[in-house]
Amino acid sequence: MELHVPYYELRELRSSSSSQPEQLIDVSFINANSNNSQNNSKYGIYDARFSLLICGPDHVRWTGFAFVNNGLSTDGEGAREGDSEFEEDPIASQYEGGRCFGIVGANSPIYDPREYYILVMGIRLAAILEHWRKLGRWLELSIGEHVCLSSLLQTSPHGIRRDCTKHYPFRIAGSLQMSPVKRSFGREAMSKTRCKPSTGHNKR
Amino acid sequence: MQAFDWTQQALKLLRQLLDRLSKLIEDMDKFLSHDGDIGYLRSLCCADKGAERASARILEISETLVGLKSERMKLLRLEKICQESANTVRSHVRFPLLSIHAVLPFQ
Repeated sequence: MELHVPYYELRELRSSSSSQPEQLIDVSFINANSNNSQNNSKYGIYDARFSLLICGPDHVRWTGFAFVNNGLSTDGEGAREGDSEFEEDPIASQYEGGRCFGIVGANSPIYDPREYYILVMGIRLAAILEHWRKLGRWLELSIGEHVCLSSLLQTSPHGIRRDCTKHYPFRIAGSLQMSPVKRSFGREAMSKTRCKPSTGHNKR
Repeated sequence: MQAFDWTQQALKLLRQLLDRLSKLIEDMDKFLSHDGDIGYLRSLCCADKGAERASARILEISETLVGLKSERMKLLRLEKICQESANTVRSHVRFPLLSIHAVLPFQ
C-alpha cells in the first residue's frame, strides 16, 4: 500500500541563509511588499512531500516506511522531552508548530496494516491541511493588503473610488500562528490533552 | 504597471497552489468514493475489533477533505480578487491612453 502526498509549506526564511533550496518557490514579490508581519519576517513556500509505503508477505508480517521531504532536519522528529518512558511511533506521531496531530505508542502497535495505513493517512493529512490553512491565511493577508492599497490609490475608470473594506474584507494585520484544534483527532489520544498516550488503546 | 505585475505574479502563484490542492482533493474524493480504495481498507477493518477505530479514522479523513475543499475555495476567491484587480489596473492604464489620443487631434 502506498500513499504519496505532495503539498506546500509556508516557511519563515532565515535571513542568515544566503542560498535557498531548489524546492523553495520564489515569493520575493510578496515579501517585498508585505507589511503584515510584525517582525518583518520573510516567507517562502516549500514544495514538500510525504510518502508512506507498507509492504510485507501477509497481514501479520509487514513493514512500514515513511519519507518526509519538507526541508527540515528529521533528527529527533516525534520525540518529546521529559517523557522517556513513552516511546512513540515516529511515522504515526506528528507534532508541528507546537501542535499534536496524533500519537501512537510504539509499545502498543497496530497489527493490522490497513488500520495502520488509515491511521497514518488521517494524522498526516490533518497536518497537511493545517499547512494549507496557514498558507491560505498568509496569502489572504498579503494579497488583501496589496489589493486594498492599490485600489485606494486608484479610482476606477468611472471615477468611483472602490470601497476596499467592502470588496476585500481581510484583516490587514494578523497572526500566522496555527489555529487551535477544532476537532479531536484520535479521540483516545487527544482527549488526554497535549498528547498523552492512550492506555487501553489497541490492546490485543 | 508595478501593481499589474504584482497581481500577475500572485495569480501565477495561486494557480500553482490551486493545481496541487485540486489534485489532492480529486485523489481523496476518488479514494473515499463508493468504489474507491477505501472499500479495500474498510472491509478488513470491519472484520475485527478495529472496525470502530477505523470508522472514526475514515470520518476524520472525510472531515479533512472538507477542510481542504474550504481552503481551495479560499484560494479561488483570492484568484478572483487578483483577476478583478488586474482588470481594474489594465482599464485604468488604458483610459489615460485613450484620452491622450482623443486630445491629440485637437492640438
